[in-house]
Amino acid sequence: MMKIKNITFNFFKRFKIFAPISLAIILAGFIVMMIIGMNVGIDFAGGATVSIDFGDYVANNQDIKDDLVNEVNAVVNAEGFEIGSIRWSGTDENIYEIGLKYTLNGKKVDSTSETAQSEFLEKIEGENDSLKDKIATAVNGYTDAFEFTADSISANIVGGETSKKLLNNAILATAIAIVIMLIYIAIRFTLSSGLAAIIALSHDVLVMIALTTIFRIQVNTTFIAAIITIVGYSINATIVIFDRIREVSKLESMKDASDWEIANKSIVDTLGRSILTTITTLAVIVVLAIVCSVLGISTMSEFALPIIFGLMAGAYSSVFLSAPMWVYLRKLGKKIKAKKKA
Amino acid sequence: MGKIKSGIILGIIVLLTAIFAVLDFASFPIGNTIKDYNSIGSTIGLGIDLKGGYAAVLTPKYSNDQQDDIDELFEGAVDILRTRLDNKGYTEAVITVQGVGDGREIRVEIPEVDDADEILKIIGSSGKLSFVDSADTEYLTGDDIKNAYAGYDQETGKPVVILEFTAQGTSKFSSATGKLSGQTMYIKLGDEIVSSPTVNEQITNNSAQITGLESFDQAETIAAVIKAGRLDFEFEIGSSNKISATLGENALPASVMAGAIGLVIIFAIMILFYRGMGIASSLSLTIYTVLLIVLLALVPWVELTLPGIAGIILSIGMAVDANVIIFERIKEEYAAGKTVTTAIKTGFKRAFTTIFDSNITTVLASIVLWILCPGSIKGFAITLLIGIVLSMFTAIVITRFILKLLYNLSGGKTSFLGLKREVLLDDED
Repeated sequence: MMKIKNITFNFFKRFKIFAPISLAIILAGFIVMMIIGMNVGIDFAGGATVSIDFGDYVANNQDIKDDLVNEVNAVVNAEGFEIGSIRWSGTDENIYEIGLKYTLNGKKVDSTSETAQSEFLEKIEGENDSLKDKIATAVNGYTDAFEFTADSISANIVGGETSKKLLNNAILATAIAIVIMLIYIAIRFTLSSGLAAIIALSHDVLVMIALTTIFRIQVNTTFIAAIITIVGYSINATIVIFDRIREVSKLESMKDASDWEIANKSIVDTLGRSILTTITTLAVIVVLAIVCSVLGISTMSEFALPIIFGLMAGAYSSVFLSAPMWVYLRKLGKKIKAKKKA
Repeated sequence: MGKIKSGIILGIIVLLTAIFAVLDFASFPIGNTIKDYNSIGSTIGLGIDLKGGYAAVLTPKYSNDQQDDIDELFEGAVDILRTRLDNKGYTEAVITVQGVGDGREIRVEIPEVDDADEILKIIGSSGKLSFVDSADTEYLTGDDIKNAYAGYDQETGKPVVILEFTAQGTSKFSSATGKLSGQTMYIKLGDEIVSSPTVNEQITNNSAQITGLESFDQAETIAAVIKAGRLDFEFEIGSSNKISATLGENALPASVMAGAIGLVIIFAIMILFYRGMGIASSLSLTIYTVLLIVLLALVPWVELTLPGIAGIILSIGMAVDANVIIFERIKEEYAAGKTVTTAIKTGFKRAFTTIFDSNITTVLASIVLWILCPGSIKGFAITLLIGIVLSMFTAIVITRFILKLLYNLSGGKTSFLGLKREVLLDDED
C-alpha cells in the first residue's frame, strides 16, 4: 500500500475518460429499458399462479417431485408460457405452485384490464386445449401409479399492487433519507460535498439498474433491498474521501494548494483503504453468488449480481467521480457567489 | 500491562468468543435431561423465503351498500392488514391480491407460527372494538381508545391487553361502569366476545384491561389489531396451508456457508496486509459476528430474509472497512515518525471521525426506512441498523483493546504489526 502513495497519480486527467464510460453504461441501460424493458418479476408485474395438487403420490419423495417438476415445466414452456417462480406448498409439500408471467411465446400479453387478465386466465384453465389439460395429460403419461385429473389443477390471477405500493413507499423513504443525509453532510462538511456525494450515489444506483436491465436479471421485491444496500455502501465510501479532503484542506503544507491538488492528494491517501475495502466486501458477496449457483439456487445469485454491480460502481465512483465532482461544484459555487456580488 | 497478563486476558477473550460461537450455532441435548439446547442462531425469526410458513386466502365480505366504492375500500383494507401484521412483528408476511374485480381476494403468507389459523382469524377480523352490555347496547368503541398494548396483569400475572382511553373514552367508561355495576360487561372484537368481566363498581381510570386471554401472543395480536384501526368489512378466512421456503431449503445453509467462507477470505486478506493488526481485526470480526447473531435473536421485528442477509453482508463489509481505516491511519502516523504506542493512539483517534461520519449517514438512512416503510423493508432496515451500530462498536472499542493486548504479547515488536517508516526517507527500517 505504501508504494502507491509515492506515485503521483493524476485522477483528474482520467475523469474525462471515465465519466463518459459511466454515462454510456447508464444510457445503454435506459435504451434497453425503453426497447424491451426490465425483466420485471411477478412481484411487481402480476401474473397467474397455477397450483397442481399431487395428493399423496409425491409425499416426501424428492426424486418423483424433481421428475414431475421437469415434466410440468417442459409442458409450460412448450405452450409458450414463461415461468417466473416455482415452489412447493401443502401440508406434505404436495402442491406444486408455478408463477406465470404475462407473456406468451416470448411476447408480452396485455394485462391492463380485467378482461385481458381474465382472457389470460382462460388460456390456462379454459375448456378446450388449455394449459391445465396439457399438464394433466403429461402427468398422467408420467405414471400409471396414480389417477390424476385436471381437477387437481387450479389457477388464479395475482396482482402486483401490494409490491408496487412497497416500492413506492421505499422510493419515498429513500428520497427522504437522501435529503437527511445531504443535510448531515452539508453541516459536517460543505454543501458541495453533500451534493457531490448525492451525485455519486445516484450514479451508483443508475449504473446498477442499467446493468441489471442489460443482463436481463429478474427484478422482484428483493431488488429494493439490494438498492438500499448500495445506497448505504456508496455514501460510506464517498464520505471517507470527503473526510480526507476536509482534513487535507486544513494542512499547513496545502495552504496554497488548488482544489484539484487537495482532491488528488485525498484520493491517493485513501486509495489503499478504497481498494482493500472493495476487495473484502466483494469477496463475501461473490462467494455468496458462487455458492448459490453451485447449489443451483438461482434466485439467490440473481439477487447477488445486482449488488456486485452496485459495489463495483460504488468503489469506482468514490475514487474517480466524487472528488472531481466536488471540485467542479466548488467552482460553480464560487462563480455563483461572484455573480451575486457583481 | 505485562506480557503474561495480556496473554491471559487474550486467552479469556478467545475462550469466551469460542463458547459464544458454539452457543450461537450448535444445538445439542442437555445431559441427564430430556431437554435440548437450541442454538441462539436457530431462534432468529426467519422469513418465508428461507423458512416457509402458512398461506391463507382472505375473502372480503362486503355489504350491499359498499359495492360502489369497492376499489377504495379494498385498498384501505390491504393497508390496514399490512399495519396489523407489522404491529404484530410479522414484517416479513407477504400480502398479495389475487383474482379480478369483485372476485378479488387477499392472500396472506405469514412466516412459521404456532397457530396460523388463530392468528389469521384475529388479523382478518373487522377489528371493531366495542364495549356492550347483555342487551348489546354499545357504550364505547375503538374510537375511544388512545393506545393498546399487551402486558401482564399485576395481580394474577396472566396476559392482558391494556387499553388507554381518550378523555372522552374515560368519561364514557366511567358512566358505563357506573350503570352496569354488578352486571357483566362484554368486550367484543368484531362479533367475537374476547372478554366478559363483571363490573364491581364504577371505574374512573383512563385505562382498562382485556382479561381472560389464552396467551401473551394472543394479547399481542389483539393489541396489534386494535392499534391498526378497524376495517370496513370482515374477511372470511380460508383454511391455512403450509408453504415451503420460496428460495428452497438449501438457501439458508448456503448463505451461512458463504458467510463463513467470506469471513475466512477476509481474515486471510487482513492478515496478509496488516500482519498482527490483521490478527486483531480477525478476532474482533469474529466477536462481531458472534454478537450480531445474539442481537438478531434478541431484537423483535427481525425476521431474517435474503435482503436481511444482504444487510448483514454490508455491515460485515463496513466492519472490515472501519478496521482498514484505523490500520491505514496507524501506518500513516507511524510512517510520519511517531512511536508505535502514539501511532496507535492517534490512529484510533483520527480514524474515529472518519468512521463516525461515514457510518452515521447509513444509520440515519436506515432509521428513516425503518420508520416509514412497511413490511419487508422495515425488517431489512432494522437488520442493517443493528449491524452498523455493532460494527462501529467492535471496530472502535474491541479492535483497539485486542490490538493493545497483542502488541504487549509480542513484546513491542513493530515488525509484528507490519509497520514501516516512510519508505522514501528510510529504507532500512
